[in-house]
Amino acid sequence: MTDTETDETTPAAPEQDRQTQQSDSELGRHLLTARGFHWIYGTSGDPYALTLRAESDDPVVLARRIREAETPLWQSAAGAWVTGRHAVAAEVLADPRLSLRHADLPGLQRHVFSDAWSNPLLCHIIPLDRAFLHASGADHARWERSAAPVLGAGAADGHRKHAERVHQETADRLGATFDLMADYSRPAATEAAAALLGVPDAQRDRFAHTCAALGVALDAALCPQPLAVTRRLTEAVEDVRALVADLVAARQSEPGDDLFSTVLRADASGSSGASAAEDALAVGVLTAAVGVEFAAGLINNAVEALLAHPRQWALLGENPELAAGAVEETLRHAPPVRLESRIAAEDLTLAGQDIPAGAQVVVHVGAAGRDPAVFLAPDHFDLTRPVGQGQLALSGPHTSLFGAFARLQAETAVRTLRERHPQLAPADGVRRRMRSPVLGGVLRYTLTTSPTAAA
Amino acid sequence: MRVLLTSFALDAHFNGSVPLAWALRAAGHEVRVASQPALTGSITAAGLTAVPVGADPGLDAMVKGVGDSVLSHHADQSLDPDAPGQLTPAFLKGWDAMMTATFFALVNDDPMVDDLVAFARDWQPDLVLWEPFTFAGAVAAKVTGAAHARVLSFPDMFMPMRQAFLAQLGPDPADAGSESAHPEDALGQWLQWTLGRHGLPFDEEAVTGQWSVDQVPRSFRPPSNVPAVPMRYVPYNGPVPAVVPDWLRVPPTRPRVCVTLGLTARTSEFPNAVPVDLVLKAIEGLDIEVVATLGAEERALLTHVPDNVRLVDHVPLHALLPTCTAVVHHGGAGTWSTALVEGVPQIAMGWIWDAIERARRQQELGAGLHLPSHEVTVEGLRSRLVRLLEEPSFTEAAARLRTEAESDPTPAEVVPVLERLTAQHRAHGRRRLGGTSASCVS
Repeated sequence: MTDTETDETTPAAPEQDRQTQQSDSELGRHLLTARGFHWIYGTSGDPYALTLRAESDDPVVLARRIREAETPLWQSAAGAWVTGRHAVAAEVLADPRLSLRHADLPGLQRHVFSDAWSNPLLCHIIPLDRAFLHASGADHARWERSAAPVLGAGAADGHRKHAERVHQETADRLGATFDLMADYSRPAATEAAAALLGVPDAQRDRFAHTCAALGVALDAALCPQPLAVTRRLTEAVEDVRALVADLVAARQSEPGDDLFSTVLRADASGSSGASAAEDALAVGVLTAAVGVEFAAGLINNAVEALLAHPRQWALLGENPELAAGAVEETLRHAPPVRLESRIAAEDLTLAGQDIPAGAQVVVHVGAAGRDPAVFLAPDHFDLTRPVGQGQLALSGPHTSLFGAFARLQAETAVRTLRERHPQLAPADGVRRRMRSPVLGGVLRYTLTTSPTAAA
Repeated sequence: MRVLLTSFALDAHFNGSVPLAWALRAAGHEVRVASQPALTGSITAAGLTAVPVGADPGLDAMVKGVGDSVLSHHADQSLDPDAPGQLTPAFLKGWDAMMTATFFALVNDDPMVDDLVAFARDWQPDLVLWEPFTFAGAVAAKVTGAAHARVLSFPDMFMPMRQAFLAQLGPDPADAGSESAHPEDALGQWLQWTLGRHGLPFDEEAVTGQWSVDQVPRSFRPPSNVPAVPMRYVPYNGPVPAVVPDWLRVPPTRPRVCVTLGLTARTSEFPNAVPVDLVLKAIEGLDIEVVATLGAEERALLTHVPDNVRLVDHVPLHALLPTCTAVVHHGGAGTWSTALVEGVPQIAMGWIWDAIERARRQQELGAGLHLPSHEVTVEGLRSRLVRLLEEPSFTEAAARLRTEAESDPTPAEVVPVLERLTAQHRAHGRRRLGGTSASCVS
């Protein structure tokens, strides 16, 4: 794979070269040291460190411990200030002084561990700037604005018919026993994303392959992945950039009413001076790196919750309109993006704590979604729960950008699966990836369409 | 033949290989000892030839920064592979992840490994002997085709842990059948990158060596599938004045008890788990004579020195212990081994790593008593010492272990075995082996 760079003018290109030139020993040792730190800080029982360690501990129990800590916002042994309380979480997520990147660190968000064993920076385990994952609030606001006519909530209905067709076709291919992630959620979400970006048929396999490798991106930012996984991820980032850049270039010469043309048309010449083509590239890369996994994760979590509650599965059968409620409840009960990490741009006071500039602040969205101060019987999954205030699962820059997309995919998925396979049941428990504290990515979730036959 | 011996720069881990180095040298072999510059003084003080490689890896800074957490994961944790419910998956995973990040990859950092490899390429050793955590030795051997073996001077709890850990990981699900290390095997992964840097694939031999020289009496050897050459432990206390003081030439009139907390805590950030003051309080009033080897910093912690205590900075342990009825110590390998070969019953503090197994097994064999960390009290220590002094069975059992230790071949007797194994294991087409003849070649 040598076609890594098509956009010669991208200022980050030399940085990218340095990143791929890091030897296995350099990058591997960095990841290994970060992983060691997560083990080390977990020895005291610190629930945030244990969350990042992402081993055998139950993430829901850890989330509760994070929420129930003595102070609403507390500093973990791992350095970050952490909250699982809904009120503080909402405040943090809305605060423009908290950003995905360091205000005083232009370029890659790279932190090299020196010999400072006492104070390692664990906020950006690897720099994922090339995937646009550490963008500024201003960039995100602009992308969301310019993509809104296609990605926004108001545009969702326009995509519904296509989504239904994709999901029906995906469901048609299922055998009596199938893996929800590999055979349904990811292919359907990938197909929907490919359509959104206008990926030509000849490139669909490449796109799907790349999306699968990008699936760990949000985890990799906070939790060191094995070296091989990290290498595949950074290769996939370059590959998807090349693929998207070609598509954007094609739309530049032949505009339409698709996502890229929409972003290109938007007036992006605002204060930042970023080019419209760079914005389109960002939106396209993020669709592959975040949108697909976010939607697939939401489908997985919604199906898992519904199958664990047969009465609610039955209710959905009686009233397919409840699919929206099921997805909304999943976002609260088991959000597909559990952790939101921020960096303080300046000294600030949050929940009575003085947070110095440059400090990391982490919101546990999963914990906040079960805060009993806001939700009645918060551990209970209830698809008829009235939609009220307090949904935080779509309040991050990534989850906000792809909220409508993920919602539509998940609603369509549960409706389609309920309609096609009313007898759907787990053949086995869900197996989730290790080292997946942010996404809780599903490794395997075997379902059967006719449990009596399987039994 | 040319023997390259290597240990990361810590006396406690280097000392155990010194008598073997002497034996090899005395048999006419060329011996070089490679370590970070910090060990150069210790190497030359032992009468050996030093090759400084790499730079100071900052072990003390690591211990200062995260040592407490790393040690807490291992404290009071049995490493006995046969003890049910001890080597849990979570413990082993944390051990591998933490020790590789904070220790293995630190004391064998890239500059050290690459410098050692460069020296080995140039000097072309026939045999590389390496301290069991100085994996750089295995890398240098594999790069140059030399035979290589680990030199063990403490019970090899590492290897059964490693084997249990690998068994627990199973095959790499994503990469079945390949020879690469499992992605969750931090030590294997790191060695894979390190060997890869020198153009070699990973294999488990970089962790195990081709064989081990094992100085631990067989009663203390955990099961292992790595071939072992047994060798008698010959005490060497390290680069400290080895002088017999006048008082030591006069036989004691009362039972003599040695109290020592070893040398590592004196010279590094590694914590000492035994409060000195408590030890002296525990022996106060007993009808014994106590020789306490304590450094200046340890003495500064004393609030009261009982009349029956002689404080000395240092005395050669192998000269002192034959005059002692018992020894009370921190559990370190050098002290433990010296007491064992001198046949002296011991109270060993065992709170971490193999020190627990040494002390526990010693007690099981009746040759001493284990002082676990929750028993480090005046009463816990005093009651044990009283038993050691009053019950002759301890001395009898200690004598049996001494006999067992003496049944293993001396370093001099092991040299021809190493010559033979080196000829078998090193890459073919190399220079002639043999004692004095090899020295002519070089």
